[in-house]
Amino acid sequence: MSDKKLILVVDDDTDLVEMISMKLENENFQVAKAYDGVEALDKIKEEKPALVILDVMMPRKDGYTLCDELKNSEDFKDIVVVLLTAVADAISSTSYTHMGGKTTLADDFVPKPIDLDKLMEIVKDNL
Amino acid sequence: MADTIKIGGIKLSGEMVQVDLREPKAPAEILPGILHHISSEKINLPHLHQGRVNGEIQTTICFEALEYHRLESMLATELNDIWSRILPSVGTLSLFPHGSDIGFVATVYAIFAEENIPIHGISSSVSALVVHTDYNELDRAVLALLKVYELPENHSPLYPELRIEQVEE
Repeated sequence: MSDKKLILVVDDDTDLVEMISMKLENENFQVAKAYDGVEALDKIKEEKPALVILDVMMPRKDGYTLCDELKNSEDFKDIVVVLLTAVADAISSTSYTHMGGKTTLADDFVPKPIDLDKLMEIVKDNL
Repeated sequence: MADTIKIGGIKLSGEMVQVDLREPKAPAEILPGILHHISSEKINLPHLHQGRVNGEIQTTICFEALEYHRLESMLATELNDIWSRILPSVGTLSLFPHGSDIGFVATVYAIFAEENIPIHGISSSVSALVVHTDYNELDRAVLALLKVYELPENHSPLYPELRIEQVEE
């Protein structure tokens, strides 16, 4: 059995999924991929990742909804969730987003366009 | 029945108009003007790729069909002195991930050829192989590909569900 931690990357931008995955694999993580929130939930149930990098705006189930479902679930609440947000403003708190004051239980945020090195720092800090 | 090959997904575009143009040398002189017009008019640019054909730089640009009327007169002027072609009612089919596997490209070509589905262009990004065909052939192309490739059980939708529209601030 591998000692490498498993990270699930979820975004409907397939090129972004690929670039983040390559970076994670270079940093010695195992990677799984999904392209929307419904597919992501299936992968989470099947593979139980340690951390999910999760885009917000996706078809079928958006990142906020999936994050809330995970954090309110006994089985999945301990999975670290890092949201990818297309927000120009900095987010000062991990419990608040710009979306009309909607709260979220994500563990951390990374603004788009993504700085891959910054993303790796956040991943390592949270694991 | 032969085993199918698992892939991450297939995405289809909406209906588009494809404009192919060739400029004899770099740096391009016509293309920057076209792109500037697209940007200033806040017109979406779903697809652009470049390659070389007979030593010239060929650019393929796809516009949403419902936006194309906003570009017609500009393009008629800009494309007057160079080789170009305009294909109405085109769609793109993206398969991913290609895994940088040239055999993947060959297989896709073979599937389209066997089904006599036209290919108006082909390109790749970091993750996806993108094939341009007639918009009304997209469904048939998907059915042909699914004889060889297998999608995940709960794969994301093939057709786009979100459309971004640029608005004046």
